[in-house]
Amino acid sequence: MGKSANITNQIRTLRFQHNEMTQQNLADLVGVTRQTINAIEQNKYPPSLEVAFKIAQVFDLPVTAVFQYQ
Amino acid sequence: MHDLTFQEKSLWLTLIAVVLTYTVYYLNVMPPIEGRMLAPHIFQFAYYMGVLVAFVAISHIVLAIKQKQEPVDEREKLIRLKADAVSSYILNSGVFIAIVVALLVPGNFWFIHTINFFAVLSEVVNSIQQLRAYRKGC
Repeated sequence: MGKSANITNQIRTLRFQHNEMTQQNLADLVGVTRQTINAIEQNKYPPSLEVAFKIAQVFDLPVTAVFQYQ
Repeated sequence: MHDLTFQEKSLWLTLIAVVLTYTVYYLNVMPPIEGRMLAPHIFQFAYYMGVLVAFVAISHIVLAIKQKQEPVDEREKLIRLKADAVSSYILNSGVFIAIVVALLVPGNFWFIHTINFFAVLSEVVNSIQQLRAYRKGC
């Protein structure tokens, strides 16, 4: 348990660039809870491939533009 | 409390109910008068189980009225699976210890309560593990 140090993401920046989309709006579009989006943003939970692709799809970006593996 | 999901609130309610009910129950039945379950013991056991089920059911009905229940997502499933893995070790150990107790201690009182204690302990650890994962991440 704890931070998933290897996977970072740009979700927070992308949300603000998309009319300051709320975590709840993104959660509804992706089909997870707001708390899960919050956990992903804070690198506390690495999402499944499916959720990662869905998030990237919402921002109309390739998944590698949203998530980075370090 | 406003930031908690339905699942977290449900876990808190169940954890509090289990800890309170079993603390009062064990304070009432311990130490046993005889080595076997007598009628008053069986009545108390059934009574406290009834109280526990009623409290959990009513509190969850109230919670469901106050807060919309969201479908369980992948993170919550993972949190539950990890907690189940830990608590199953405790429950399995409890069953083994209860078998040893049944072989060594006459009567059924300690056998029943050893199994019961480990079932409660595994439930409490499961809930704490899940609540911790919700806050700290998984």
